[in-house]
Amino acid sequence: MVTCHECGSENFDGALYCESCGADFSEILKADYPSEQDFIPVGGASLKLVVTDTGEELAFPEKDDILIGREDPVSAIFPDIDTTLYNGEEDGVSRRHARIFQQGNDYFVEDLESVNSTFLNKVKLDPKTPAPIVDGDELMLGRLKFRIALS
Amino acid sequence: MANEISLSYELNKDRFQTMPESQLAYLLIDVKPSNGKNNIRAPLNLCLVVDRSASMKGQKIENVKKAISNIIDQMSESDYFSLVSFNEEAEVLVPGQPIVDRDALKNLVNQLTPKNGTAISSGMKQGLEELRKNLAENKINRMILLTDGQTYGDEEDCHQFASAAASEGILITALGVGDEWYEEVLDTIAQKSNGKSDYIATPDDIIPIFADEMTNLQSVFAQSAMITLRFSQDVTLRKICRVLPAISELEYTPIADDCVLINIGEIDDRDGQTLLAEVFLNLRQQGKYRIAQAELVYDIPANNLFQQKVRKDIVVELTDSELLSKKINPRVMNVAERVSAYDLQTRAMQQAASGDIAGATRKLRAAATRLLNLNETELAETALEEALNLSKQGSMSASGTKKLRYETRKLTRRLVS
Repeated sequence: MVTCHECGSENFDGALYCESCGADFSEILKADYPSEQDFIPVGGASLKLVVTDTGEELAFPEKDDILIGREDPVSAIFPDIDTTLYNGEEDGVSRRHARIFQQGNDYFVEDLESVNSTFLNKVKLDPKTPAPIVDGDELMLGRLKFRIALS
Repeated sequence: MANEISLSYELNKDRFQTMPESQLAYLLIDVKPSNGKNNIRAPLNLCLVVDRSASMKGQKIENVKKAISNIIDQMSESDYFSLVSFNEEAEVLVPGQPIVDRDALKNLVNQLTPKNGTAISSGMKQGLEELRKNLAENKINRMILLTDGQTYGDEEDCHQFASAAASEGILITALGVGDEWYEEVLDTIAQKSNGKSDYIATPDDIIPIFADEMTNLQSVFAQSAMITLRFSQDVTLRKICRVLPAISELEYTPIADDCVLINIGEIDDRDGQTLLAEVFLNLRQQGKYRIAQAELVYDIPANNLFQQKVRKDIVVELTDSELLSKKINPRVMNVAERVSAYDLQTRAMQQAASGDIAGATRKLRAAATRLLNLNETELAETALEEALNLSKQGSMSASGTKKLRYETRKLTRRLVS
């Protein structure tokens, strides 16, 4: 039997949720789940995201379509850039928040109907409407701020 | 062996760890047409049973008329149509007949005039009679019932007509518009007939919801589907529900100690059906075990194929290694998470109905947390509002109750596939 960490009631081994209070046991399983956190090393890429608060640089994987969000193995969402380590969850970043893609020589950002919206230079983007980005732009996902560095 | 429909399954873990006592496993069973879209369609035998009580006046009845006219436009010459309206009494506006003169049918639809009270059973009774005129097992036989009000004292008759419909192969879609109707009556009608029930929040939603229902009808691939699950002796079924096309309870009959028969009804050519079962595994030794045999029996009316059968063995692997048992199946976990949000609000409502307000409030808050995790912010807000209503006034609002009850059923539709 498993004892619920919230209400103390007994549940069957293997249960995903507490029968009596609904507490989530799957979080415990998730914690053990191997993380696929794996950034491509900085350098070489022409586009970077710089976390405004900390100055950390996030390089992009070599793909022409990049998903930014929060990793969630349960929903099988593994974004190319996972903001979990940068306070993404507290700052209201959705699991599938936005994408950045290249067309010709230009880069675009598109909000993927995120809950807390995407802002480019403090202007809220319409969902599913790509906007061009250039060096020095400020990109905000929910409340998490980045600077775009294009070289 | 038939091959029009495939049976497959997934478990919440690739391997389970051996344990000294029994453990729960979550099993998803997918029932899907093997070849995707279905091009041949069986004729429809459709009866609309529409509330014409006084409260339907205005936008509601006008939109119902438009919605029905749209349905008539989409039906083909091989289909059969009938229309029954009811208040305390039922009136047949269009007797069961093939689609010949669409304009003449629409003129009859326009005669719908609201007055007096509501007795759903009178409409159902008359609707069944119209359907029986053209009933055939190679047709898709369906009643769409629409009401906006409470029915008085004839609930038991409604349930009996729904059971009768089921035994004749007629499914009932029960739709409630506005906030004044009782969920229990429509849900029981839907469940007993293996159909479905839904909430139409405003008159503006009538036309799109009728259009959806028509699309559903045109995508029916197989019907009268039954699944038999025969479990091995170390395995017991704890519960089983439908998760696609929407979450709903399933009525099942134990036919032996280790065997259940589940009537799953229709299988469409888009989602098919997916069921979620919770089973106790009482297995102690490492190895692979066949925990159950599943057998599906179904009819494909368009091809005159009846009582087709397909079988599948369900196998689990047990391991002594803790590490090997860690690998989870994200799809099964995700479905289980969504079903648990639905379960929490269902149990909250049951507790509220039995007078346990504090317990119900806690469950609703837990449901809100779960919904937030699922990014269902709007539903989460509704759950929180209703938790507040419960703790302040001791009761939930009619619209919030209906929204939670019917929208959480659709949580599994928004899965990332």
